[in-house]
Amino acid sequence: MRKLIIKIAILVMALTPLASFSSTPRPDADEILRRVDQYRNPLHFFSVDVDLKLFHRDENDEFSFRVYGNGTDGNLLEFRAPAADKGKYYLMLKDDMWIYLPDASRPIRISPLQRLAGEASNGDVVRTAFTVDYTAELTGEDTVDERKALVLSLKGRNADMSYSTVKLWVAAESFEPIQAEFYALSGHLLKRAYFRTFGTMLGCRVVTSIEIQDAIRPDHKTVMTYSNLTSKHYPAKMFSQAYLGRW
Amino acid sequence: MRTVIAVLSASLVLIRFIHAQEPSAIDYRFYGSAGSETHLTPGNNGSALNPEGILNIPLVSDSSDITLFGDIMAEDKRWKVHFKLRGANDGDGNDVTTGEVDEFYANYSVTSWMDLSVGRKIVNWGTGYGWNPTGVVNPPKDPRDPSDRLDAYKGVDQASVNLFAKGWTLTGIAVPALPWPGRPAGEPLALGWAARGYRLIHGLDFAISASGGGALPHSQGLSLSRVFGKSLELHAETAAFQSALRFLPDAGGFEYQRRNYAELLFGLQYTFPRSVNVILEYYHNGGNPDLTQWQQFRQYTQSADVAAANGNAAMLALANQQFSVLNMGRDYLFARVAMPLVPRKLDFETIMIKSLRDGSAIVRPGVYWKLSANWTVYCLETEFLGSRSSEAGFVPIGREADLGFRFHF
Repeated sequence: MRKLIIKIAILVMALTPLASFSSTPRPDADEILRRVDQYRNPLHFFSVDVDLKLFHRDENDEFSFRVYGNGTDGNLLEFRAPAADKGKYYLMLKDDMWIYLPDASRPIRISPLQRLAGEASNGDVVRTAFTVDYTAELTGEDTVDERKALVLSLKGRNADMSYSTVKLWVAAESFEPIQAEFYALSGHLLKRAYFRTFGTMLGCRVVTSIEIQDAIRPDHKTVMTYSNLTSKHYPAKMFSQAYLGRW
Repeated sequence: MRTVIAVLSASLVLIRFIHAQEPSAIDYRFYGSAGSETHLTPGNNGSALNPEGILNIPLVSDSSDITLFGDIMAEDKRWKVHFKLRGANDGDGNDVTTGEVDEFYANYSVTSWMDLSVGRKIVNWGTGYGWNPTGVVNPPKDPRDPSDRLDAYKGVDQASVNLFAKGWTLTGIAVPALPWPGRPAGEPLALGWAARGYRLIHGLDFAISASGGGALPHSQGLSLSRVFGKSLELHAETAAFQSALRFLPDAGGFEYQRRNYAELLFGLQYTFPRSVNVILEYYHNGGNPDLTQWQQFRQYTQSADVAAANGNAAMLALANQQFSVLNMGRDYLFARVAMPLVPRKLDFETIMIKSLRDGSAIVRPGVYWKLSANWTVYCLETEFLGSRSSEAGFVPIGREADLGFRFHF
């Protein structure tokens, strides 16, 4: 009898790892968020073109930017259209922001509420990674457009974030971002984002368009389209306030 | 003229050098704007500077301008040549047309921590919106039009080095010649220098600066700026000047005086929901006339009026030449409110500047209507509010209305 119990115990111990391999363990929430960021931008040092289309009732506006990234600390945005905005630059170093106007020829310190355009906040356009600003917690599962989705709750790393919390739906099988809701510190829903299309850039599957809807004024929406993702590594000095006039 | 030629030649040599060094692809962009304005300027016959409308200021005048910016640069951003060309026509009766090279410089990134720049360049130091005490090499700024709506700023001829190390940006500028307020005509020009150290310290923009030499005032400055929360930005600037030459009123008229003085500015910028932006600033300039000197200026102007009535307008011409509104007092308050009335279509802006000495004020409300992505029309109304003996009351025009359009390309 003792031999039989020992054999059963050995068999159970031997099968346990097989059981865990047969269903791959789900990564933790922060790892899922990191994989979501890979779909938004797989590179740390890059440039990418961003086109913004604003739809307000029957009126449309279009803007074009080029975003330069320098690791997780610095992002620079070059205004390329319309003509009235050419030559302007916007620098974001962690939570500090400046805008450079060619006619004023100097960087001007700005606060997060000073917007670039439409429903997209400065961070929406310049930041291409959630993990820089938020920590994640897996809060449940859901179904979105017949896709199984994991629901993440993202909390801002500091109180001054444009959005205090973000609720993010992620495809369960691939960790592609599907949609997100952005909340103020008061708990009010500010806007919704839909990760509409995906494509291949530099051999990686990435988000190519995001639609942002104003939660208070549903007829106001902004579509951000990404293209020309390129690996570029500029010296750190170029991502500083004092360098803004030299780009 | 020789200085300009020398600077442009040095720029061309640097351009040729860096082009020889770098075989990488060349990127370029050109952009600019053109515009025209009609000005309505009824004379202020109550002003002691314009008794009985003696200045004959035209009621209606026109001006137009075109500005072209250009950047030619290596694709890897190692070097860049930048220019700003401006042509203007002032049809105020004399119809003067000018063409200027406002900027033309080359920038070369020598190493990952050093840049060199040579040529005519607009340098803008400081964090203030209406004034910049530390801006010893800045183009002259009009607090009534701090955003330079006509792109009229002109650079200084300079050679500079920028060092980037351990979070600091250290800038050294050599200025061969620079006309600055108070420099007597004919005084030999000499080399001036300006230096600045900048660093971002825990979210605080921190900069210290100094200047000296023959072409710049001897000064030391400090400027700060920081954002608190999502909406509030606080900024401050101060500069101390030693032995600066000023042309100031005295008992007999005007005289050059060497002065030690300080300038101080502090202010805030707050952005309310729906993009309503408010800027408030306090500015002190110890180099401007004190109360006694302002009273001496007024007495001089009264004498000038009497002389002009007797056929001698020379004193009145000098008084007009020396009067510069917002430079006759020492303490001012500045306020600007800007808001979109219709988002991205119709913007409203009001600037108010108040002299704390006599309470007189300049108020300039304006609306900007964006017809399309490229076309903007606007209307600005400037009112001078104050008694006849106040600073604003001395302005020779009663008010000014500017109706204009601007096309961006």
